[in-house]
Amino acid sequence: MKKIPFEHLDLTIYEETLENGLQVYIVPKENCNNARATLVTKYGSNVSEFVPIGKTEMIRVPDGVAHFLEHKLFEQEDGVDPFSFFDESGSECNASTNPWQTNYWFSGTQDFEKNLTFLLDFVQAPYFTKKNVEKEKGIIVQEIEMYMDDPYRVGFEKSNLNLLQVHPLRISTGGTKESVESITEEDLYTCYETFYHPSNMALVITGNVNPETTMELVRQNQGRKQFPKPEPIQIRAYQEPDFVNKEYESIAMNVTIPKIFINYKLNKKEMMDIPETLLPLYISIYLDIKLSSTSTFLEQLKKDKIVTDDVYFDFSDIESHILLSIEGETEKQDELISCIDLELKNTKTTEVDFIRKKKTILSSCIFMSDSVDRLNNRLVSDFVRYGHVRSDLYDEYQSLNYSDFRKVVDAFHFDHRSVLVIHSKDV
Amino acid sequence: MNYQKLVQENYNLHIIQTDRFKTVQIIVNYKNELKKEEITIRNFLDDMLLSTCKEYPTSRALSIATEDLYNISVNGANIRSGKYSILSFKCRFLNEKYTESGMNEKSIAFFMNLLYHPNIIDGQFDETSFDIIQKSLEEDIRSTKDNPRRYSLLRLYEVMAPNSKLSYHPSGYLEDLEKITRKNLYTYYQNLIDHSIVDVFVIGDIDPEQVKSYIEQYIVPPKNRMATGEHILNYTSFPEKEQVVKETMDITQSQLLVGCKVDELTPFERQYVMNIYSFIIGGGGDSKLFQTVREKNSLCYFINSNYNYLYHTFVISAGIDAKTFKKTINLIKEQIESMQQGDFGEEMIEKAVATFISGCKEVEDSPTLLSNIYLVHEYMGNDLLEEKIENIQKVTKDMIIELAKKVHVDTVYLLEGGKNEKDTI
Repeated sequence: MKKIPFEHLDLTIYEETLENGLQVYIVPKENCNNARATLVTKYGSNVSEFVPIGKTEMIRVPDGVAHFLEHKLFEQEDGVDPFSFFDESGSECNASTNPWQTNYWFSGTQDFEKNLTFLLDFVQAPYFTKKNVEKEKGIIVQEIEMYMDDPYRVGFEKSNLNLLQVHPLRISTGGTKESVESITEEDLYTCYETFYHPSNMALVITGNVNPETTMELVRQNQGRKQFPKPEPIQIRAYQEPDFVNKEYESIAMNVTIPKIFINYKLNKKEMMDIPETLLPLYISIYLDIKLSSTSTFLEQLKKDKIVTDDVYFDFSDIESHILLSIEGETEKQDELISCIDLELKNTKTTEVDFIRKKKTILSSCIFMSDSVDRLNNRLVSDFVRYGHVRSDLYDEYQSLNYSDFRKVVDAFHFDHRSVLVIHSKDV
Repeated sequence: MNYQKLVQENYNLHIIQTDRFKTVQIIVNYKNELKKEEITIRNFLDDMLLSTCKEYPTSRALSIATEDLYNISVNGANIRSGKYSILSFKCRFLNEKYTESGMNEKSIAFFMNLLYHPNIIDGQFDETSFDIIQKSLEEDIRSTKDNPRRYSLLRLYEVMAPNSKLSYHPSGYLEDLEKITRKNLYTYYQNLIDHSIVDVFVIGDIDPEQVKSYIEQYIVPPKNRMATGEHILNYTSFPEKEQVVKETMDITQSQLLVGCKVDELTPFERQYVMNIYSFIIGGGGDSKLFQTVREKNSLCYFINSNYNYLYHTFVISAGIDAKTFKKTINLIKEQIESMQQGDFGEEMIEKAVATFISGCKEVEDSPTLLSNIYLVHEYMGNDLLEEKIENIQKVTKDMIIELAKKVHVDTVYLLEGGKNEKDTI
């Protein structure tokens, strides 16, 4: 077990990779009652074509299978319901799936070791039958219908669909009603056996725990279980072109003020010499300088009554491209689109702005370390994205510099755009 | 941890000293009687005060200042609390131990500046910010229907208790918005500062004497000390017969709400017994409703229950397919009745108690939750953490059955979506 200081945050990371390949990270936090444990697999809705473990042929599985699998792991052969088990110690437990990962977590103030054992055991004991798979379909269809009424969720998924030609981020995490209906227990077992191998997973623990006894418990627990030898997983790679799938789409939903999603697809090839972990930060600093409440741009947009609220921005990072998404609410869609387009293409920035944004990133890092849950989520994302956890997070943020920032900004080409408008049904 | 309540000049200062957090949080609350016609203007004032001030006269200048102060966060809310309305302002910043010496005072001064030195020109708020906020509030009010879950709850309250404080719209009313001017907003502000019940809560690893002197230096205390009263609304009885109200909207999933009226409860019942009742019937993945409606019958993805003791209401909500309305509502009613029959095991009570105690311990990990305990203690006289942990263990099955008999289904509300054929009850 390695013991690494978590620089500048008054914390220590204990880490070990077990014989079966499972990576374990423990960050004890003094002066707190709660502890949180997350078991995560680098497997989400972005995987639809792969070679199953022990096979040689590439197969394609129905959309929504990763999410379906997440639901079904809560079914236990002995009938013990995980929710019920965690309730016994007053703990909370849940799971979630996104395009990149599926995670299972619990958090609570008592019976940590008993709960941790249960978490490992329930995720590592799949029990899928025809009957219990059928039963879940009605529940998942209701979940999909709930998201279909959420304009932000629809906006995110439609934007990806319109930006991308082949990359599976274009697929909705939950799948469609039809694809969900077609999922079988065999599909679930195939995906489970391939992607829930410990060598594709990590266990991240933060909060009120003893690192030595916890690590020993995990070692013992994993030592008792049999897994096939780890092999590298082959997932189909995609050659995503630069051009977008659809440049404009307008859909009607239950909204009063139209929501405009302005999306860009930027090729990463000219940004490749920037450290992988810093690239996302440079991009968010750029968007922040240009579009946030500290910008003269937003001030003017509001004065001109083009928007009343702030505009929101976010981005996703796929292997070859950055996908930017800017969302604003307005009745004046053409003006908003052209203003945003002009502003992003005007890549002038000042170092003063950059330094101030960097200060907020460093402060946020300390804010984050104060919360057991946020700290846990940060470490989980690190593992999913980079395959390991960063103990020098704060120093990395310190190394952000204006000349690299300009290199990233100068490599932007806002030529490939896709606009989605969600307007009211009354119009 | 050390808590003290200081009775200051016409306001109360609550200091919670703890070394658990790297941040310091300050809450300043303005409490007044809840009046329907003042909801909109209070929302307006909340946004106005946090968007500019004398020193930072534009919203952009203010945003830059917050980033310079190591990303200090400032926010406000107009909270409805039974008979009262609380305009609550909150700031949270990194303890100067993690930034630089002198930042605690600078941060407090910045926050208080927003509240007490607004950007007033010729006796009125500045025009640019006023216009932007007016438009934004108008959009908020017009967009009430955008979130079907929130909208259906609003409608449930309106049909359940027409004209009561419960039925007021939290985002306000267009006719009140039209009446707000830059001048009368300033008059309202002056009145609020001078004539409210004011409580200040500070939490963090700070020296109480020092914090006290900062607050005294920067606060503008009210002109007099106002008398406070009971938050909980008087119990009003509801019609004997339950009503079923169905409305339609062009959405995919239908929203089902079961609104129950709860008889007047003792302080012990509302703080403890009700909590366990709600946990058993609709608290989480192990609850009777989740197990019956979702797990056994696959009728929904979410179903839960919520008790609001300030208004004597207990509400069950679920997202369903309108075709299954009748079946779902019957299952929900069966569960409500089965609680009266005592159809739940001791192990469910034990789980509820464990969850409650664990929740109490988690409170200590969060400055917001921890200050909320003292806030609710101040306003409603609710117990503090230690008493809570002790008292919850006194709840018995008989108490829960007795309480179950005090819960009466009043209104079933369905916001019907989808394109499915109609179903009748």
